[in-house]
Amino acid sequence: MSGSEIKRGSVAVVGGGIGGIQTALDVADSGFYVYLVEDGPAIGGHMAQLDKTFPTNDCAMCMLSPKLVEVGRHPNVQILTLASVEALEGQPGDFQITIRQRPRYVDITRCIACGRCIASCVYQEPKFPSEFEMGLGKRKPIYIPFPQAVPLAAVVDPQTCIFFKSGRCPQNCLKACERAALDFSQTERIFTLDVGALVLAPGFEPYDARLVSEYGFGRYANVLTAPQFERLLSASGPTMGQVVRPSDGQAPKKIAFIQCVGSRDLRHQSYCSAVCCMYATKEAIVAKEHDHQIEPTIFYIDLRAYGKGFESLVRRARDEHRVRYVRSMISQVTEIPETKNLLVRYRDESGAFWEEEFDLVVLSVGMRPSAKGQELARKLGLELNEHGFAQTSAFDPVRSTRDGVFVTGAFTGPKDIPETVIQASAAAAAVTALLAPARGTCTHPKRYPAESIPDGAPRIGVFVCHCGSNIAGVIDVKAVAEYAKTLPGVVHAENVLYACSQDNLKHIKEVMCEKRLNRVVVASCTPRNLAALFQDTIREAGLNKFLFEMVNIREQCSWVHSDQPEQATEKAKSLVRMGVAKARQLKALSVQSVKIAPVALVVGGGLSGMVAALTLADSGFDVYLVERGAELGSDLAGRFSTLEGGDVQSLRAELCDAVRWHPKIHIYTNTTVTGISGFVGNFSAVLEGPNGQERIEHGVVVIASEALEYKPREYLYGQDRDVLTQRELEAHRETVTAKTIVMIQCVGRNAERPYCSRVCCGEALKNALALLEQDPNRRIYVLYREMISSGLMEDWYRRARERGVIFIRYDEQSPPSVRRENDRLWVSVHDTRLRQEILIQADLVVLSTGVVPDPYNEELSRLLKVPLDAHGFFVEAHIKLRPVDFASSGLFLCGGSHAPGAISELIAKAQAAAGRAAIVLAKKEFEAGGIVATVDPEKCTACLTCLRECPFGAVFINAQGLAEIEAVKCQGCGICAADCPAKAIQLGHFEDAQEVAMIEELFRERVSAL
Amino acid sequence: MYFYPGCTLSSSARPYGRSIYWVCERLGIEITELPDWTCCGATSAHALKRDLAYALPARNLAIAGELGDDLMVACSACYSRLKITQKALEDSRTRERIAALIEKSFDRHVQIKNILEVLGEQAPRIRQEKTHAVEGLRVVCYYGCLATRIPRVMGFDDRENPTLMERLVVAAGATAIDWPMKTSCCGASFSVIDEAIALKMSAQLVEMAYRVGAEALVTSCPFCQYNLDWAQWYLKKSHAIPVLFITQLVGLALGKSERDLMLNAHLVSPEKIVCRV
Repeated sequence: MSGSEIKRGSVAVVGGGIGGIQTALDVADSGFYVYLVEDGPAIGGHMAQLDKTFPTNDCAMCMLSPKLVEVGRHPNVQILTLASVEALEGQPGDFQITIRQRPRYVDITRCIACGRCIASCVYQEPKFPSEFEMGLGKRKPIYIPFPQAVPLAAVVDPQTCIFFKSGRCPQNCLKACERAALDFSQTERIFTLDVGALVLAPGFEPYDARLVSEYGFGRYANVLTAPQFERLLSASGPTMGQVVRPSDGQAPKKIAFIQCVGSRDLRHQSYCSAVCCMYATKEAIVAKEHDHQIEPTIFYIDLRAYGKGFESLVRRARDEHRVRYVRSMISQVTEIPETKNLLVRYRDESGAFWEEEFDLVVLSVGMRPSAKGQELARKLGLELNEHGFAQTSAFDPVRSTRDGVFVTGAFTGPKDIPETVIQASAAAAAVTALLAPARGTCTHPKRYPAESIPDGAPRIGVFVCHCGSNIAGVIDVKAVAEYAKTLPGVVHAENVLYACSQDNLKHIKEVMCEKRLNRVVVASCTPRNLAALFQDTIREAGLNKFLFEMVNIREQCSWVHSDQPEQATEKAKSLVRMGVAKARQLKALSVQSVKIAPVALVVGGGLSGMVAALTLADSGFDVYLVERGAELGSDLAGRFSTLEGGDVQSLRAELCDAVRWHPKIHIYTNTTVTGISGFVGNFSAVLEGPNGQERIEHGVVVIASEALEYKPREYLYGQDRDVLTQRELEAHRETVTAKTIVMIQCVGRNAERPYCSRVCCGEALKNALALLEQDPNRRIYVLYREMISSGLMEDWYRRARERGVIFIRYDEQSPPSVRRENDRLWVSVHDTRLRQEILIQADLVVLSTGVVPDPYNEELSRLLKVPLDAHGFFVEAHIKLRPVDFASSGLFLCGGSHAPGAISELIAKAQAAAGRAAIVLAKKEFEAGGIVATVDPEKCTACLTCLRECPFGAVFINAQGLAEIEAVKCQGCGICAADCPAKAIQLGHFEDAQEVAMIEELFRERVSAL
Repeated sequence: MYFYPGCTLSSSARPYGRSIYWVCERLGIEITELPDWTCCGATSAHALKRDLAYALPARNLAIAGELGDDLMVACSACYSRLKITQKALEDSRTRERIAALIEKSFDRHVQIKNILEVLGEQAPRIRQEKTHAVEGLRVVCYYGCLATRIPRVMGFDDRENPTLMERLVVAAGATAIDWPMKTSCCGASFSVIDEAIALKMSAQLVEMAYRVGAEALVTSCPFCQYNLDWAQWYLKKSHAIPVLFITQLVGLALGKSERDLMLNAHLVSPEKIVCRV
């Protein structure tokens, strides 16, 4: 433990992108108070601007928006927008940070984002380039950053606002605001906050394409950057998802993507930006899905598809979507003056020069450390590396050079979203371990009055919201409220100006008491944002929170029918009638409080298992660390250094020591888990080891299974003593005398094992450089398919070339061959660049064989009912945003059997999994039940449909031979209820009777009208 | 300020040399021909021997250094060789070696200025004092491949999209048209070695100038002017475009006669554009 004796239970997270958001949520959910400090007017970062995400091509906003809402509504997260950290004093555990907050000129507690101020601005049309639309769209001086922004409130840009520029403006916005939310007298605020630790997540900025002037960005209208193209693809973007050329608004047919713009280029950034190959592939596919006429071509140097699911995305792009990949670095783009088409000159792999015309060129710009992040590092006294990214150690990827200050995401180097999320959870885990004693000291647990059981007939109160003029401007809300009064069961109906305002919430509670309401219906906006707020309100009044129904008459009515006010009013009435019908049928649902055993089971005692165990134990939880083998950290055996020069054996020794002597870690070697039952918070596992069987009770499981080096059958391996794998070479590197060494990459990578193992290129570079260090006169050849020296690893690739390592590219279809002849090893390879067969007489052949998942995973998968993918790797809950969670609660994963990774990546993943697990354990108890499915034993025929369908393993066959659903495991998705052939399953709050009542109610009026 | 004319300005590019002296005098830019200057080595020397390629320009730099004044250079190849040499001489070992070769020292740093930089400073004056001689003339500015490259060495303007010449053209009252081949190569000395290559490259340039609707090409490089002019003569295009030096255009705008500016010395007659006015 370092730093002061005082530990504060609050944390500052700087940067509101996906990394900062995930850190804030994890830290706050672990029992700490979080200040989320964002420089811009809204959180969301770059991910909010993306249309889709690779490799699944899911909608980015659909994934991000719930996170934005969650962090925005979190009782223990305070979002500070337009704010920056100016100074940091104190020590770990007890810091004082100085915050500078620029004025927004809008009170976010009053603004309801109705947009009247914007509509009334003296600029009739948006005039200024929108930051969110990357300059492709325009905004006014007063604007809402984007539709899903959090906080959802207007902001005034003083740089463009006439009032600030000249003082002569009628300030129509001020008059238009019905909520008196605008305040032009706001000034900059400087204040200090007490926090125990900081996490910095200031992210990256796209490389400025203007600096790569040979491509004509900013000069030629139809040259865009990839982030701009992302906005063009977005349905909510400046063209509503139409892919059109800026010059003439026409649909482009041929689109060229140029890779490595600003990356892998000594004139710009020497490193690889790690994400561009995949985002270009994604954008090409998505563009094609928008308009099948589009013919995308991607010009690249190496195609770096090294992450989970990347290889198959590229294959789909090539084979199914006919995306053309051309291996060629483009040196110039020329505009054709008449058509504004672009001429791209390239040389294909056969050496021929081509000039090809494209309608649109997209520049795959790389990532660079943000200027804001570098300034922050300077103010806080953090060291940056040569590229301007935060300096961290290879074995502690989220720790900065200043104690108590953690760094995460693209601030530490180019990263994709899952890696950012993993680091975010890892940083949260590090913070919570540091501040563990102060857990819960700054948060405010909520206390509620006792719940009353509703007696007798429904007494429904209906509150119809005006939402300023958002609803009332179209719908006759008074008529809707009057109509609601006539509906059976309604004892109170009224109009409210803003249902969600604090004064109205208070008013609802008063009416509930006064009128003895036992059901509440609010007719306003989407339940997605506010249902939880209203449920909380009625719970505060003592009513079961499930006796609430929300009717959406804004997004689904007034906004979409704004030109048909009369019909909209009729529709609103129908919607309210349906809501009231459901309310009449609503039942109080009970939630039970389940105690959580504050104990973790970590399966696997390799690097990841040890890191996970230590992280959990440092956070104050007991850990059972179970290892099948005799030794801990055996996956690190025979490995000596990392590419960056980290000492692997001392890492192993330190970890083993720390684990062994930690009072909270119980080590079981030579032990397997033979049985596991229970559910989150209350698992029970059977361990079988040298001392017989033991049953342990625990709250969570972390699977920390490592991947194994593939033992090849190819290239005389096992038959010839001069053919080794990379790991075998590393283990004996010091004694190698060979002069000519040939390394062959992607050994054993074939149709059955098509994925990239991510680590082998780095291993080859490391060993090649070390061998040359020993003896500079060696000849080292690396035969490769694609060099995957992604991110900062690119520097080592360059160094290896500078030191004389010869890299020869071979084609997947014609791999090299190795033979022994006349007591000599001969390697022959077809060099794709020279288009010639090359014969090398080698003293030593080293095979980069990649990694395969541990076969034991299959048993674990059966035991825990968690899925494996086609290659035997575990499948996480969500490839982007829940990379270390399993879909079933209480189960987490890390290690190489999740996906291959370098040591630093495995460490981050293990810390992240432990952090996620610690969130569960920190809660002490959780609420189960509520919206869950139940089986009617009278109707169940034990057909097993539900058992097979349930993605969470909540269904089991009970002693009576019938299906039963464990409430604590059920996530309320409703799949079983929908699929049960006997209609034996009901989902609480969405019972058949409730849904049917709504449908009947909708058609009743129609039928009588006919 | 000393002026390094280079070999071409008294031979194939005499109109350039003459118009430079006139325009500079007219704008009050005092230039003196660098005494005892020698060839920069141009495209040949650096293809043969590195130290020879450094020694030739270095001699001129040393003379300017001894005399203690800035050095203006008009030819892009001379400018490129002088700048590259100056950069190479930052290395102490190279400096010693070259100093021994030419028996001169480099005690004082010489500021090497491209003629575009020098004239650029006078753009406001040109705008004020111009006549209507080239008013509205649609021109494309052609920098060639050497003037702005190597970027880290040259650095007086953007390497791919320089705009200094456009500013001068606009100041002179003409209309500058943007086009995509400002810094493309004209074929340079291939016109001597392998005509077909140079012809093809120059023809592409002229073709593009025609397509964007230019009435004249303006350049600051003698070799580019020569190639583009010669190529059109050779190809006998129906739509020939005269190729002027930037100082000729500025000279016209400042009231000098076409005869004094040697416009008639070009192969493609600038008659059309001059009579038009």
